[in-house]
Amino acid sequence: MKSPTVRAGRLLDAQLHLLDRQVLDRSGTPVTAVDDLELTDVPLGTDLAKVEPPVIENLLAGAVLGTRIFGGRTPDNRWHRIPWSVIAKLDVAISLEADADDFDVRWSERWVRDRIVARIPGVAMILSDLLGTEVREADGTAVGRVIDARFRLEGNTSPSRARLVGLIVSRGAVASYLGYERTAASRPVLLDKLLRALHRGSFLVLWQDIERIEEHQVLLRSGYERQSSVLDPDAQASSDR
Amino acid sequence: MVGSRFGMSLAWVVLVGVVGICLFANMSGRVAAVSGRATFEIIRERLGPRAGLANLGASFFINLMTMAAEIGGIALVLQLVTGIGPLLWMPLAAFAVWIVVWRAKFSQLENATGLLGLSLIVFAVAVVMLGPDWGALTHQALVPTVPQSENPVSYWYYAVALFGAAMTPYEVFFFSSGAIEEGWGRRDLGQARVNVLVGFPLGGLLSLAIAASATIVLLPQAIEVTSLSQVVLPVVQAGGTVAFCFLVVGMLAAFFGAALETTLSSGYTIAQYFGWSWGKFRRPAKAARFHLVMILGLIVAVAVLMTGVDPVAVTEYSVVFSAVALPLTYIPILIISNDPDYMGSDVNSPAVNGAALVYLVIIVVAALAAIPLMILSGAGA
Repeated sequence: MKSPTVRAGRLLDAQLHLLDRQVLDRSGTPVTAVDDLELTDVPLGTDLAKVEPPVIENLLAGAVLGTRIFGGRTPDNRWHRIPWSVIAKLDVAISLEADADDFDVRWSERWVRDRIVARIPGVAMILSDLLGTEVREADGTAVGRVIDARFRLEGNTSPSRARLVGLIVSRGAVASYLGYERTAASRPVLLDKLLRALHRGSFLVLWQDIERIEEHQVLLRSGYERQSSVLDPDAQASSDR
Repeated sequence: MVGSRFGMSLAWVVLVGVVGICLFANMSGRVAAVSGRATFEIIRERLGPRAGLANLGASFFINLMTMAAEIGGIALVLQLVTGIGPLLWMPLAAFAVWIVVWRAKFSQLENATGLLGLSLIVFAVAVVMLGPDWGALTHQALVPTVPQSENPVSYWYYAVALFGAAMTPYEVFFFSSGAIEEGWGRRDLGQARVNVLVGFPLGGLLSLAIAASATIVLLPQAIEVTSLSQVVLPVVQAGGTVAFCFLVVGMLAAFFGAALETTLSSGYTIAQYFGWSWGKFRRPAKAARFHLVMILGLIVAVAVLMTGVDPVAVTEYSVVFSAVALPLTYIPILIISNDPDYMGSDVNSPAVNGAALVYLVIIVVAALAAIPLMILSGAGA
């Protein structure tokens, strides 16, 4: 559904409503500011009687900003274009139906990220950041620690993606089930019973019940549900959406 | 510093400046909370890329110099305590600032430095303990006259500098970006107002207390403040070792807090002008250029300090220049906070607009007068 800000018939002044506004992608990540607009061509020096008025083809960014400030003209191949058709909302910011990294204009962000910032520790999320993290309810009560993260394979294409289903939370002192979380593994019975007893009260919280992941804690939504942490690979597969 | 030369006769400027920054910071916070747009985005949106770039250049330069001064301040305090020269402390201080900017959560970095900075209250305590002639102090503050020994042009030069310092735009950039960092919405407008009305006047009160303690101790002896140890002198005279310890903690926190704010502001302004992703609420990998700007800013700030220039003198000049750029920041804020596209029904009330227009006149006058006063007074000599 398109936003009412892009309804047919709305009038816009380019300078006021479009130029220099912030462009956001579908998740709200800034893409660029609108540095200029690319219009369809109008023949110069001819009678315009039979010519359609031009339309805006693309939002432009990048080197065109320099020419707007200092004058002159950069070659067209130095422009970064965002097609008009991906615009979802024209408000105080312009929102797109696309991801920020789909556009060339973010090349410098990607370059700085990959070449410089990624070399400093603490940039990206790794599994170890999650394991062992304290889990709290909305009111601050500690309910245990993350002992594992459960993923589900998705898609039919190969290699398919593995997406997080939820976190397994336990109060137990032993860090892992040592494999006895699977329904199929239950022998030797004594060990099975012992480890299950140690992890009594451990549970799975689904992604939608997790409110926030912070540096040293995971916060659950109020009214979250404790799912069984037993791993039954086939049951999970059959419930695959 | 100014207290040792002019006594309390410039106190009114601090008051005018604090009311002004409260007014405009609150406005910028409201725009950010309601529309989700931070101050430098709206500056470029309304002024266009050219005037926006001019403002960016001026603001970024002032910000960088303030950053250098704050890092220099940390180094001087550490020198005062340890006796080891500041050249060693400068890179370490800058690194500490960077680590906090890189790792700490926004709310932590904001609250911790604010709380510790409260120990600067010792300046206020010192004023009381020094048992001043309250009548004379308030008379100086309420019926300001230019001291006999001073040239009126210098007096007005320092008035503009103090006004520029009180209304320094980085505070507005930091405050409005902070509103977005903390995810403020319409319902947080009350909280925003409280933060403004407590935080900024407290800062103003502290600078008055510092000026007052300097007035009491240093003015009669005709000591001009040329180093940090002289700023400390009134407090030590009044409260001895304990007060000194409070003071060291307070000054470290205040310098460190300001260094964090200016460092973040340098990233905020550039990223918002160019429309990059920014903010501590994103992982560094999601705001790479923002973090790179701050790293480069800190490196340049330390490099400036290493040349041996006096960072305090640099800040003094830079606040005067900042006065020139003030209208370019505050006019767009005033316009946007009245724009229903951005604000819906939360546009400024007529009373706020009235006050803002009065301030706009003061700001423009200060901006026009700044450079001529600087030249005529020989930079306050």
